Amino acid sequence: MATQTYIPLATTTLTANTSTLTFQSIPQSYRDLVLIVSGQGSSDSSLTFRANGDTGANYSWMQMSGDGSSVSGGSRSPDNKDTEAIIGIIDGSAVGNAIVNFQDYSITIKFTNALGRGNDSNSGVRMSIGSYFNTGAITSIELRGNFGTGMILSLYGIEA
Amino acid sequence: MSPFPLGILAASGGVEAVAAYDLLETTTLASDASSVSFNGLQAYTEYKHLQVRIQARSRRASGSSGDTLALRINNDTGNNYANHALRGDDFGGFRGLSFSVPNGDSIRLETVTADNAEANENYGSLIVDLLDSFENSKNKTVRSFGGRNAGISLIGLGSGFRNNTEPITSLEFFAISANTAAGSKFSLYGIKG
Repeated sequence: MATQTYIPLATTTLTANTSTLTFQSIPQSYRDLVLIVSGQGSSDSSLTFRANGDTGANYSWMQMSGDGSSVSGGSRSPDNKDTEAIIGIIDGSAVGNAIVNFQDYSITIKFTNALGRGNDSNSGVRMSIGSYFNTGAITSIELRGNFGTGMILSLYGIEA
Repeated sequence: MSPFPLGILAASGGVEAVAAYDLLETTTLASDASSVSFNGLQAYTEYKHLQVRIQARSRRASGSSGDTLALRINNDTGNNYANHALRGDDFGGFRGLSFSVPNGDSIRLETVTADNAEANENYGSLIVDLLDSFENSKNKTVRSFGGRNAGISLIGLGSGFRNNTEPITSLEFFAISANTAAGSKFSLYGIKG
């Protein structure tokens, strides 16, 4: 029996520049979340996340980027964790987007991974995986970056 | 900016939307298994594309912090597949890599976390799209996006191919070096077109 899913949970259009915003009270009735970020930032930055208000060094990430002339990348390995995880890119001089898949965010036997892809017409393309090294279900996601006025952020739930 | 609770949906109007993305089946392994299969997919021909969302771990205990997850279509074990991959990892610093496997016996998707890496709670993530799954005039193409943060961390994009036009009736996923671990999850979705 097929089940309709990819359910819109929230969307917002920014009316001012900001460096953080948070999706709170995320329902636990889904298995994955999809975040779509679209628009131009106030300046160049990475798009990162923190879960459940956790500011500790409990995040790891790996990213790879291409800008039309070279390939670059970086990571914070599980042996050298970060206080946030990179999941995309924000461009301050061109419209771009990021699509991020938080997988098994509500499952308490696994760490949560966020597969992210960022695209924009100025600085190129980036793929990334950010991981939250905690098995607690994610109930809030704080997004961090140089978000610009007019950017649209939408969150969807996917059952499994 | 202040946090905002969920439920602030933008007002919208216009054309009435039709649901186009449906959950079809999910397998979560209760114990280790050599493979995970979805069969009888001819029941889903009302959909145009299929997607599989995966959180998986391999029991590979040595040699690498990851294990490649592979896919076979319609139980075809012949050398009828090919794939390419674009990958970044942090083996001794960042590396950008490109791979190809011509004439393989499966599509190599991307690597997932292996037991040889650290915590048992650490799984690899993959999203696999099978385009025009039920067309009978096209060879089958697959795209994958996945990675892990375990041992040598890795992120990659993959493109797979089966040199056969028959509609997809079954999918078999398996880790090439060891069993797939209990707790691994494979969810199949249908996308209308």
